[in-house]
Amino acid sequence: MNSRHLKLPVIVDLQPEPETAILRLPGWMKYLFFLLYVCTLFGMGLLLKEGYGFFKLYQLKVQALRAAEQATRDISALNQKLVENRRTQNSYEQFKYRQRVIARPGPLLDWLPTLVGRAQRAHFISLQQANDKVNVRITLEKAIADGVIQNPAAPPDYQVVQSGEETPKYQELPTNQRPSPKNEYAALAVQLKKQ
Amino acid sequence: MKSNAVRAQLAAVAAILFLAMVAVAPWVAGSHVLKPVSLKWNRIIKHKDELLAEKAGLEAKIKDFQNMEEKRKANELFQKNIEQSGLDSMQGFINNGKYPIYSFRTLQLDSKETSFSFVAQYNTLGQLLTDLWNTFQFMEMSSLVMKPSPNKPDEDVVATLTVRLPQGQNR
Repeated sequence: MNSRHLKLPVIVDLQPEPETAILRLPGWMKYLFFLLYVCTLFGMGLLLKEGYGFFKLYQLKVQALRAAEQATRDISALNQKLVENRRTQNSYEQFKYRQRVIARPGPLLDWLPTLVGRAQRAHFISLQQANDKVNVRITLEKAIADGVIQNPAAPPDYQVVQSGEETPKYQELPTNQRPSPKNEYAALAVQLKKQ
Repeated sequence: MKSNAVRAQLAAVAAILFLAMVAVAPWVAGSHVLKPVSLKWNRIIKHKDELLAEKAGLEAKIKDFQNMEEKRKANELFQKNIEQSGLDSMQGFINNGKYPIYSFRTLQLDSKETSFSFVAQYNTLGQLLTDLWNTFQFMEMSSLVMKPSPNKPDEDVVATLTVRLPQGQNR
């Protein structure tokens, strides 16, 4: 037999298509499918929009993380600098305060000669200082009838609290002189206060 | 025939449910995935803004301090001056031969107070005291006693200067 004369086998469909539909969906279902379709489209649109926003937010977040790291480092350095500045300022003010409260001898030394009259001679000068008070004591050699200067003017930056004549103490007098109000020596005691 | 109809109904219900899921999936993703992450990221961004505000505040505070470099140098000079204001340097300063004084004596009264005694002319004494205070800026004077020198009462004075040595300062 020649292969040219062979025939294909006939396939017999044992389960033919049913004449009536197995499942018939109700008519309103097409509205449901349309609704789902519209819903899906809106949802996808919304997701696209949200995704874009999300991506922009992600970029901002990455930038924020970098900026926050840098800002944290800067804040740490600035805090350190602030502490250093406060310490420097504090020290500076303390130094200046100490300089201000320490009395300079210049004004007092320049002022001492004004306490000695023309016909008088300073024999013993004592200058004691405690805080803002200064006690000045001058033993003057003078004529017996002469007196010490009354109400002396205060040196710059000081004010006179009290002043007056006193009997000199033993160690303020020359050798062999005794403390007495009736000799040629008188002590001028002045108490000053720094302004 | 009946089982085919049931399978077809089940397939239809499954397809409808699947479509419904596909429809609501974007909203679910938005509300359950994107929104919590967004909140977290917004907190990060807010934290960054707070840090930047804090940084700006610190910069403003630092700007309030003026001439800090000059003050720092001044502090160093002050501190150096205090450290150099020791007993030895003061003795050396007074009795270094520059000032014509004699009978120089030092008496340490306690850990803070020291008394220097010497004989000098009044003008020399004034110059010495001025230079002393200009050099040792934080030295405090407790007392100064001047009386005529027994040898030359008309020319020289015996000066007794009691000073408090400056104490160190924490910087």
